[in-house]
Amino acid sequence: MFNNLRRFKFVILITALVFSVLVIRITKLMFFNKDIILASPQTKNLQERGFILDRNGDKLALSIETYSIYARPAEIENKLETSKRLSAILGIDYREILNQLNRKRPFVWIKRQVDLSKIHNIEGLSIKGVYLEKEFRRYYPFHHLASHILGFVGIDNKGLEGIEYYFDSYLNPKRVDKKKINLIGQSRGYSVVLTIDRYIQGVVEEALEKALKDTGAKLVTAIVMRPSTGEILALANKPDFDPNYFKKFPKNYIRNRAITDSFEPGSTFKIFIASLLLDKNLISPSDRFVCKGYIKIGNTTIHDTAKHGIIDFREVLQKSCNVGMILSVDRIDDNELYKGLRNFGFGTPTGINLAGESSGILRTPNRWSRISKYEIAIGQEVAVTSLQLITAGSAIANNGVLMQPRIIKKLENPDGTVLKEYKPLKIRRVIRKETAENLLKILTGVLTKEGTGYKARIEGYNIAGKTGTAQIADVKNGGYLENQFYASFIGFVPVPNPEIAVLVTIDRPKGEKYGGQTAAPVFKYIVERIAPYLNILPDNSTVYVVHNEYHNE
Amino acid sequence: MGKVYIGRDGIKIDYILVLSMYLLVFLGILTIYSVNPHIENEKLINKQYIKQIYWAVAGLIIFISILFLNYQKIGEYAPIIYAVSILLLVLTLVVGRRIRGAKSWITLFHGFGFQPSEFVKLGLILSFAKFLEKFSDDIKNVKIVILSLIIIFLPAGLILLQPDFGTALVYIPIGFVMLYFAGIKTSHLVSFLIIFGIAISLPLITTYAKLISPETSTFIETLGETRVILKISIMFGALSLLMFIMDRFTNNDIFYRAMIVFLIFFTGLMLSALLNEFLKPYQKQRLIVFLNPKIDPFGSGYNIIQSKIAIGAGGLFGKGLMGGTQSQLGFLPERSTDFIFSIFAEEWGFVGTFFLIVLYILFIYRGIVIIYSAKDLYGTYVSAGIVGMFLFHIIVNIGMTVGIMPITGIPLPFMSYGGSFLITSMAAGALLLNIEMRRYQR
Repeated sequence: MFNNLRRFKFVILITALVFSVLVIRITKLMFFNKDIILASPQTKNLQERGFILDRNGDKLALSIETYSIYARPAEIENKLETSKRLSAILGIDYREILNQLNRKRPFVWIKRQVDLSKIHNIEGLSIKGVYLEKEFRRYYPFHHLASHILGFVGIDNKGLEGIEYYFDSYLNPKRVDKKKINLIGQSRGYSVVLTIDRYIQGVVEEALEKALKDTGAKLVTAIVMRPSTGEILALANKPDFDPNYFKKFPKNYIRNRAITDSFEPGSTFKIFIASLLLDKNLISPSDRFVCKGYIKIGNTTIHDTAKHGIIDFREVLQKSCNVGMILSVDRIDDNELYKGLRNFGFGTPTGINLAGESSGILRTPNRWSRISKYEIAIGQEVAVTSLQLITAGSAIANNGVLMQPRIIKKLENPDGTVLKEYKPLKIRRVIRKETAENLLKILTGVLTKEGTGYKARIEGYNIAGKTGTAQIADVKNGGYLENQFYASFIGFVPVPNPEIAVLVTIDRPKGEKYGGQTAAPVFKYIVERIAPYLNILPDNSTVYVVHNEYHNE
Repeated sequence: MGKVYIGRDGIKIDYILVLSMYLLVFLGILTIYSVNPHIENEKLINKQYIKQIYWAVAGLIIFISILFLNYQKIGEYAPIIYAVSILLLVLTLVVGRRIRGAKSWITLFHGFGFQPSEFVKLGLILSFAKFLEKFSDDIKNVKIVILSLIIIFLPAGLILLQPDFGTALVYIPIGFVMLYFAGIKTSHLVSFLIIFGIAISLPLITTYAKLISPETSTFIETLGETRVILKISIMFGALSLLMFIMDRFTNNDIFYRAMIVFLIFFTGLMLSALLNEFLKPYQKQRLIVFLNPKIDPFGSGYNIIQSKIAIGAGGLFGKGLMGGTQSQLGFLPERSTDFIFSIFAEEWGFVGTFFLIVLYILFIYRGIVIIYSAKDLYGTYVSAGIVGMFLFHIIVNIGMTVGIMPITGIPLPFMSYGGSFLITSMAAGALLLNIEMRRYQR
């Protein structure tokens, strides 16, 4: 039936042409591959990857020289004898080596990345067909410390997670300008200097380890930030992993959940609602509300933690009264509330230099239900990442100006000179200076005996803070999980001019559920130890502070 | 040669077609098995390769069932097939489940869902072929061509709304291959290809420029704004209108030609503005990165680089089943779906890959022969659509893994993990066989 032979031939011609191109391309990739570094034995891996340093110059990731031993089976005359000789030197079962040698490959690894100092008889390795290759292996001297920030590399020294991944193009020595290498005679990649402080990071991780054990939680996270610059001094999640042996850990231990996962924050979110109400003069700290322990909105009843009675706005925050908050939020227009929260950075990624950041959830008012506004007022129906929460909180501590959170201080050339400096970056003013100051003062009430965050109190320090205990959304069935909570505490030290902001979140603590009971003590543990280190001294004390070694560097 | 005769009617089974198809399905399952991560306490039924086996069996049942139906009988229901296809796509937009950004799944009962956009490929081929058969004498008429394009772009547009750019893209070559065999004028074909060229390239220019250098010139930046594209488009529209009027008042052929050229630009730019609105930034980026994967080594370029390394690591004989370091270490994402070819290449090397490509060539070759030998135009057009679909899938997918085609997320026929497309592909294979089997039947 079909009779247009010309078109038919043309289609056959095109098909043949395209398949030829594919085959040629595959052949080229497999046999004539020059521009791609293969993850195979031919690779020369003699250039060193750049360091990752903490803010004081301590090496958190470096490379050590190792040797890898490989063989070309075709060149070996007596495979059994060779494998026995190698076995004696390397301490591997000879059958294992023999198996390798018997494979029909041009190249086989005998052992990769060996420490040569552990081999007694290096000369013994001069066997025909057996070769040595110098390789660098990435090493993380502090093991678990800052693992979620650092990430790790694969055996071919390519960054796979964290800073190692995000800054691979700088750390990778192949990317460094060739002329520069010749000039200084070094072949190392650029180094990345973090804003992280090794000591503070250590304290935070110690506190989190303890908290994980004490609370039996699924996950604990903490971030320490300098509000005035947006610098992250420490960021950690537990459980975590050891980047030296990352393969031994389950995938969800490896994720940096402080930035990749979002959660409904609960009452810690009230500080942002309060700041917007105060900023627009819609409320005064002395305005009074009646709390009956619950409130009905249409058919929905929202419960409070207690029947607070007649309570002013200051006390609403201090005691974390849901009813008072819900009554207050009615005074602000939906769109203004939404705009204000967006200004704090909720619903958008913070733009931190780490991969996989989540933007959280803040829905536009046209998608709110009748009770959404009230749920948002008490920190439900919104989802935030820990990083978003502390970044927004830091804006309040920074006189109302939101800063870009930063984890990178600078990039350095192989000779230690600065390649690129990362300066503090103002994003926008979110609230007025007076509002911020006023709110901080109100929030110091949370840490008094009547407040929910009493357990965070540290003698001699003037601290503002807020507790949070949120229900956890049930992703499978909708609604909220029963008896599962997300506890949190955010605090600023010292008031009136905070130098650090600290956030602690505890995902699904067993037993005690309230943020004031679970997260506040962790905050206290951290601040007690890092405040003197940062030269933040108690107001009325003459404590002699010993400068420790890290600080002097 | 290559036929098995069944029964007295002289119905023949083309065993080259069937064998190559089943070998490919088998190799696919094997490769999926080799990259299946070992998860402790995971139920066997949740393993990808087990699921793929189930689907292959379901595909086999459908394959055999289709052989018993006469494809000409199927053709009689063309309008209904088309209507159901469109309804399915609309339904997907309404009740669809969102997976990885695209609302392309319909869930039937708990956990069991399918992707209508895959099955609709066949629906379009079966119904559009009937349309072409009916108007085969008028195909040189531009009105019929435009009507054809509407038939093709209605489902493609609905899929673009999901938004699943890759799958929507497949509909265009299917339609054009069918039109080509139906005898569309070369000038029409070229004009419409230019229109789509403009439509697709313009939204990408800005993203491309931004990827190359952060300091993009304002000229290029404004060129990427929908508003600007619309304005230029309207300008061309006005010009073509002017030419139209000139043509009416003079007898000069040049005005008519100029009008056509302006009209082509007008339509191309209009579509381009539309696409610019629909395409998500990440989708634009994916399309671009294939030009130079090093542009974006952390994002979309990462996949291509890893894929090329995996293929390159294969060597002559490959690293053996489950022996690929690239694939086993999980450097490569989407291992069982989009990048299954890279895994296969690393494990079986050049020899295995060559064999695999020969299988595809054999299958396509039999398909092309069937286009030519079908006993009626309907059979020709259906087989042309099917061959066009497979060719596009194979070329774009393999091309993507070797870095000469953009990453579009188009699966490799018979091999990639995924039930909807596997079953669609097997049904398409059955249709080819169906057409060939009955070529001597009255």
